[in-house]
Amino acid sequence: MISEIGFVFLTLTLVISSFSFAQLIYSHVNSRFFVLDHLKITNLIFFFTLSSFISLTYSFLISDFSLNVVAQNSNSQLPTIYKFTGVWGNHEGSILLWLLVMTFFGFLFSKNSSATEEFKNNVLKIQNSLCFLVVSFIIFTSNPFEKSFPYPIEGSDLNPLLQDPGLAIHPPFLYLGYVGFSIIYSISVAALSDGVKNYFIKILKPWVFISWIFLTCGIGLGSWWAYYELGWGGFWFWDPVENASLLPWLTASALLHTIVVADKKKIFINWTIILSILTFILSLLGTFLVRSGVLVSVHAFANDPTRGVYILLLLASISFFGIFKYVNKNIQLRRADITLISREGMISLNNIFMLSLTFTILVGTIYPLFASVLFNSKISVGAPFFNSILMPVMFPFIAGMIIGPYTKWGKDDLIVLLNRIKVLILCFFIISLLVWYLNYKTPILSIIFIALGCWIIFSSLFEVFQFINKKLRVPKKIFAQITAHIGIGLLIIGATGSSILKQEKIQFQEVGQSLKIKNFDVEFLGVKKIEGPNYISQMGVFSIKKQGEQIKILRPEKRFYNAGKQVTTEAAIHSSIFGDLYIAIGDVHEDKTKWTTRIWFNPFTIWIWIGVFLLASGGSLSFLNSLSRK
Amino acid sequence: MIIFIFFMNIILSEAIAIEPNEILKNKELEAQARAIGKELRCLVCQNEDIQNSNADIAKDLRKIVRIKLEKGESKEEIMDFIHSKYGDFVLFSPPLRLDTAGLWLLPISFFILLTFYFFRKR
Repeated sequence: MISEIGFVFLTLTLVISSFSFAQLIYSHVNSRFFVLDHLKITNLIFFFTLSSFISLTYSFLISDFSLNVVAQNSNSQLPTIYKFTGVWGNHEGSILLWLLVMTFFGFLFSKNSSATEEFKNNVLKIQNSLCFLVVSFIIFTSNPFEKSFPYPIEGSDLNPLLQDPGLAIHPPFLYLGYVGFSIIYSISVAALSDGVKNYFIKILKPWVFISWIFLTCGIGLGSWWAYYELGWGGFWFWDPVENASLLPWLTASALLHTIVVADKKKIFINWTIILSILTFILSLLGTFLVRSGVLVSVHAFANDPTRGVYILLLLASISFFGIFKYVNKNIQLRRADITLISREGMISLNNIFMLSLTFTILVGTIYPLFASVLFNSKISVGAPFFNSILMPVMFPFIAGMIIGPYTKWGKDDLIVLLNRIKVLILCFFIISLLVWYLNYKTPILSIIFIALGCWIIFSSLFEVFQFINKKLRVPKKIFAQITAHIGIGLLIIGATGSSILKQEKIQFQEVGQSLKIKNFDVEFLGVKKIEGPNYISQMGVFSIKKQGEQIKILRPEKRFYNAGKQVTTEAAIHSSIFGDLYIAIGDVHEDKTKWTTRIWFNPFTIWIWIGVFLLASGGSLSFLNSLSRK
Repeated sequence: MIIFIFFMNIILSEAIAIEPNEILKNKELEAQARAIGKELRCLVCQNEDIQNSNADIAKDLRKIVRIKLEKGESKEEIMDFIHSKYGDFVLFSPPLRLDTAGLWLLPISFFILLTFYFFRKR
């Protein structure tokens, strides 16, 4: 019964949002015959979608197996929390969450934006139309309320890998980011029809920050999960799906920098609009690549080609509409010449590299597909390709990141600039020597990247020092920038440590045997059988000693899930600021006394997560700042 | 991202990657084997190198690489051998050819265009 109501609400969303869509398409028709309050429509579709989502959630919680999605992705033994998160642990539910977030952003915009009523109406007309396209996709190709009769008494299981807190909460974050870009698209396109008035940048700004923060957290949570769950200590794999989330993140990061200039100097307005539209298109492209399954063919996941075609059409029409509006904007925007050595020049450099990187990753991700269609050649593009592109790009990028904050607006001189930061340059030499002295035995690449990471952190701290030296308070804007840049520095150090400097011990370990890794003694105490709510687990027990003293017991697990007959590894990690001790347990050896154990020491890994946290904090500071300066 | 998990599921549901008995005693050769392993794709997996895959084919490839290294073959010889046997698909960084040139040319031309867009004079 509840699920029928959910479907009715979804249908109502479709019907009501279609009014906005119709008016967008027939905008040339005299609007006196067709007056619509898009704000009201926004409110209605948000509440309808929310009700629909709640009914689906309810169906999951009561294990209503008459619904196909519930029967396929949940079962009655599942802990309540995973019944709840199971709502978005499948295609249909996650697209409904996507729609909910989209209507939610429209709703927030209608309530909280400083825009005039007329501009709001224009923005929401577009936002509601986007919702219309998504809700039609749901109803016609991915209806979560689809039923079958007779229905099963027990459901199959939620994918065991999804039964994990880190993973369960990261899709909502990712979607808040991804879909948040829809409102940025709507605002930009509405501004194009409105003659690109200057105030639109101020309206746009907070939405860019908030979406970016969520996407940053989402990606961070995703790789944190990969790190502890996949059992071998990697955190980034250049997987097509990861790339899909990185693409809009990169363009949005470029947008963060550009929009500051656009707001302050009234230049780059064009470019801001292009980036806004592009970011949302890339979010959609990511969804298309992931959902349609064009990139992957050997999977357990059943892909429905109609879904792929539908999203492709959606993607094409939304891109076309954005580009069409941009080309026909009818106004000439101011353009200033930019010199490289200036704040504008450095931000241009940032944008050039960010966008080139985006484009490279995009090409790398979809090239195998094109190559197979156009040339009939079957190729792979993976981590070695992306790393080889990323490495050389990092150097000028980091250089710009360090110099950028010290350049002046308008026009600056290289000699004067270098003179201004001569103390900093001297410090760089000392830092590099220090890093080299401490790590001289390790690969040269790791020394370079750790030194660069330290450079970024130090140059950011030096900015603070300069303000304190002049007895000035650090402006909020600068403080946000410094926080985020330190985050990047830490991220680079963490990533270098946990990829290049990793130490490993893989062996058959006897019960009672002690192994030395870094300055830890890892003693294997044995294996226990544990019964969880819906799984059986083999739990290894390891005593971690430092200089003969026990500091921690680590319990890595190998879980066997009853319903789906699947196995997952749960690594056990001892984190410290110097690195993570990471243990995963494997199978028992033939002689029954030894077990395969994998022990890693991953230096500086914790700094990756702290770096992501600082990035998000810097973003949040900018967000609060953009709200208060209206 | 969710689908990513669905993909990973078939690949990673078993024990992970390299087994203790596969590791070579000679540390230098083992390091070389790792470096090679990172550049080869596990042919039946979704975006995984042979180093971190538990599929049989990845296991076999790891063994081949190690046997050949112990025989004294160089990295290039081993890569060529595996490339000739399994085709382009096994290489994670494709060979530079006419049909793969776009992989490098497109980003470079995009970079040049973008630089021009930002720093052109009126």
